Amino acid sequence: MKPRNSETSLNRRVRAADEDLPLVDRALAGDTQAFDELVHRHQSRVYRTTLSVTCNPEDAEEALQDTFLNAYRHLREFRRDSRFTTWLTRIAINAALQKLRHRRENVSLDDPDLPESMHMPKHFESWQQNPEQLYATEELRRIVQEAIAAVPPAYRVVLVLRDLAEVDTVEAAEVLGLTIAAVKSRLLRARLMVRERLAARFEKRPGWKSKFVRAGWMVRGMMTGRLAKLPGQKEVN
Amino acid sequence: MLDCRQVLAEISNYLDDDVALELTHAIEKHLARCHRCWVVYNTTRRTLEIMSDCLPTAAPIPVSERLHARLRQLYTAGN
Repeated sequence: MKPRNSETSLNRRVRAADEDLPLVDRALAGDTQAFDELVHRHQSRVYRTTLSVTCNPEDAEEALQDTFLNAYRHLREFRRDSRFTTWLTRIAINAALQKLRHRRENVSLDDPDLPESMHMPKHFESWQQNPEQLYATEELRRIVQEAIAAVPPAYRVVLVLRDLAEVDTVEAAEVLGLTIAAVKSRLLRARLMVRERLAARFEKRPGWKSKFVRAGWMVRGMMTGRLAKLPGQKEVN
Repeated sequence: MLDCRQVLAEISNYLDDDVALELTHAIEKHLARCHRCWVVYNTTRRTLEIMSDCLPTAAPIPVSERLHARLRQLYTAGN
């Protein structure tokens, strides 16, 4: 839950900075062009959100439509104690989760309390210089989406909000009804889980060159050891 | 002196520039001498860049057109 002591000043700041409010007011007065402008401003971010939560283009599109249709129908219920985008993002997350529930059961936002081994790093090799260039764009997108899809929904929604929808920690906590500490903790785990999946694809594998170099060092070590034992030979460092 | 576990617990906050100055210095000191933690930090940072870069930044045009068609139906029904 949002910390109560900072709510008033935060909301005052939020209201002052919310550039969507004039359009919201016009839409409430019946100006559909104003609502279209809100859609134009936010549809891409909402689509990115629904796609990343559902990991399915058809579900993402339906959730996108549900988001704006519901926002239009319930615009009067938008209480200006948060930014319009926060309110809209909350609707988008719920619409996307609804689609997930249609496909699977038990999509819960409760912390699944997974064992630490689920997110502790296991890959410690450096990655290749430009891993993006190893794959065609579509293939890379599929790899990343699969990595995101493998994160449990309770963590995935946090990752989507923070890293893809560019919602800040306080707003993400507000959208999901979590504490700020819980958002940070889930974000850490989600990021490490995605990293682990990508690491399996992107990390440097010891190729012939590095094997050759390593073998060279071994031979050098053996030779210098032997040479050092020869009579009259200076000690080799 | 931080150990690897403590650094790992703060990696995400450190990437978000959301740790106190003293802790930032301690993390940086650890990363400078611990290759494994440095790899985890650096590849997590790259993970965020790759994730952000390769997902669609805009809704596809047909998706946007179908959304507006649905909205027009709703506007008409409302009038």
